[in-house]
Amino acid sequence: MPYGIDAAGIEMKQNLRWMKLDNAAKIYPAARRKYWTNVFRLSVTFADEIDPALLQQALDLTVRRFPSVAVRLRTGAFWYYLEQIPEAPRVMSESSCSLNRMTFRSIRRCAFRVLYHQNRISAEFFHSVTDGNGGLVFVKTLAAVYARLRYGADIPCEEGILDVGEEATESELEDSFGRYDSPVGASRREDNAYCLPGSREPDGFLHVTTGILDTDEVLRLAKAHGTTLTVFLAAVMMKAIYEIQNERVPDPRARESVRILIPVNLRKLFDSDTMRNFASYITPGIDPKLGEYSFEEMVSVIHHSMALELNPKKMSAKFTANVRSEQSPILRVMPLFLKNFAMKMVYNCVGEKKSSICLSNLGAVRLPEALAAHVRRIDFVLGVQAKTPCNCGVCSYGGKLYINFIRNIRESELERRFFTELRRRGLHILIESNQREERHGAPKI
Amino acid sequence: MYCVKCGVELADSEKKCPLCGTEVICPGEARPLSPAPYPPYPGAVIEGAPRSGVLFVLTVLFLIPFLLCLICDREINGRIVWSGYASGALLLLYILIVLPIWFKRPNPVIFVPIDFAACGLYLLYICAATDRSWFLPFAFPLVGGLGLIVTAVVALTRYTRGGELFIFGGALILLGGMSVLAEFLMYLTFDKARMFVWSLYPLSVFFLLGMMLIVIGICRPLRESLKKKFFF
Repeated sequence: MPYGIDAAGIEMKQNLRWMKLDNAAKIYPAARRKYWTNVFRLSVTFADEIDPALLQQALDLTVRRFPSVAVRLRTGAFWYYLEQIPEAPRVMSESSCSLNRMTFRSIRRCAFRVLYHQNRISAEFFHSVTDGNGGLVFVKTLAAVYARLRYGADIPCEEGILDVGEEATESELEDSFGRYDSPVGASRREDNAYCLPGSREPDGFLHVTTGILDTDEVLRLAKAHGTTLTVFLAAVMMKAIYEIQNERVPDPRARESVRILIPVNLRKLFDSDTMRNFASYITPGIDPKLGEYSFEEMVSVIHHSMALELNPKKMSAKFTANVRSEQSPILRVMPLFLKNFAMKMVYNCVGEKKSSICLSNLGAVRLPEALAAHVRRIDFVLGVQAKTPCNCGVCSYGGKLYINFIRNIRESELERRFFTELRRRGLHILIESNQREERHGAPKI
Repeated sequence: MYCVKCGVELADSEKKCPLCGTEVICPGEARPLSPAPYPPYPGAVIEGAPRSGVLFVLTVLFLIPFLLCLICDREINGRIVWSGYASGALLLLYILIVLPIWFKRPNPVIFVPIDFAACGLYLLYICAATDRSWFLPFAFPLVGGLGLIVTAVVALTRYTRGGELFIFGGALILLGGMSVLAEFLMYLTFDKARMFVWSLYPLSVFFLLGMMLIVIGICRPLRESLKKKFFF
């Protein structure tokens, strides 16, 4: 077998690994609601229909390489922790579960799940386990193992694909936040941002709207504005939210800041290959109280705040503030239930109010040619936040840019404005969605 | 196929535009739908309405001392002696604080008169329970008058734009008048020796303050100069 591994040798290891939650992961179990946990999804679409039996086999082989991903969430007296699961979870058909919605009970059994639907393999991760880039490595490796089984392809372990025959290294399992913290933390103070209004879907349905664009066309347009693709998309998003607010709130003095939360992959700034969370964010924003903003001004604000913030020193100071609060002796000796309460209060009062939307760009996903020959598409779908109703995940693959909006409200105002703005700028957009017929009493559980 | 409104191309799985909801118009040819990219939504989680739960708990928390007072009093005295006042006060508190929370957007123009009516009823109960006759000649006109003034202020500030200086100025003058009325009614009801002992003090203060607000309201240059001095 080209992928041959000494499966038995690894299987014999009975002592299950456990690890503390990394610094960024700690907030997610505390912030959860009854019907909401922070989950994101990565999907790989193949050319042919997925074979569930082979996918299960591939997953069984893959999870051993990822002891920090194949975990479940456990409760300690003072903190939650992650415990490696002895065997891989069963792969599930997508129709058996709701998109990006994992119950806390299922997270206690296994903090990620692998789904299949038609030609697509999707992995959904509870955010405490890993971030988008860590998840992408897992999904790429899973796809590679699956393709080897399915097509007998000889896929080299490159472009982020790990060799499932090897053991995980210590550096992959480390909490890199602790390693790169700076002597002082930066202030986390920011003013509140505008929260998009809308009527919630009472049955918890999440709308996904995907816009598929040509990456080069978007890049050309971004370059014409003298900036990057992420900044350009963030500016279009900012313009859409800015216009929605201007229409809804006629009094300029009552308008709130429009802030876009852009996650930053810290592995690019610091030397780390951890498979766990190692991301921070920046929140460029405009204050509409100060006057009218043109699109060019928005581009400039985002472009320059990114230039100012995106360096190891600033980023390190930013996450150091969180590392310091985690190290606070008072918080550490607090029993878990009190800690949950305190962290939830902080999350509710501060966490989500500081940005209007999260725009996460995973960047250009590259695969080895042998695998790319079978993979048609890659999607990155964020979950919604507890309060903010919309989120947007972006990634590009094979010359196409996939922009996935998710929302828990009925109104598609933001998506409409976002895509029609791109359309007005001359881009061709293909839209698909999971829209359903007008609701006629969705089944209840 | 393209959405005629948004200009975006729609995947073959879309019956209508997911962005604007416009039906796909496909003149002269049947448009075969391809399978949807996502399976049908399997289950629903009902987002709980926490408001009713909180209200239920609050109501029970009010009910516990309410009933305990009544039962305890009955056990000791065989009838309701003091518990009527305590339970009545709890009921009044419930009406003042919890009742508006039952509504999504409680309108103060409705709830302020209700609150004053509840206060009036509570006073009526105390008056009847203590076998006195001060309610009609004293408490009723006083509570009613205060209720009218506060309701008028709330309604005017809510439904008219501007003119706050006149509304509050007028209300202050009326409150001064109410203090005189209160003393006059006390004189009639409780048989005092002298008629106006204290009420002229609040009357003069309230009247002057009220007139000051009205003058500020009328005189634009004064208003501007005050704004300059006292802005914050």
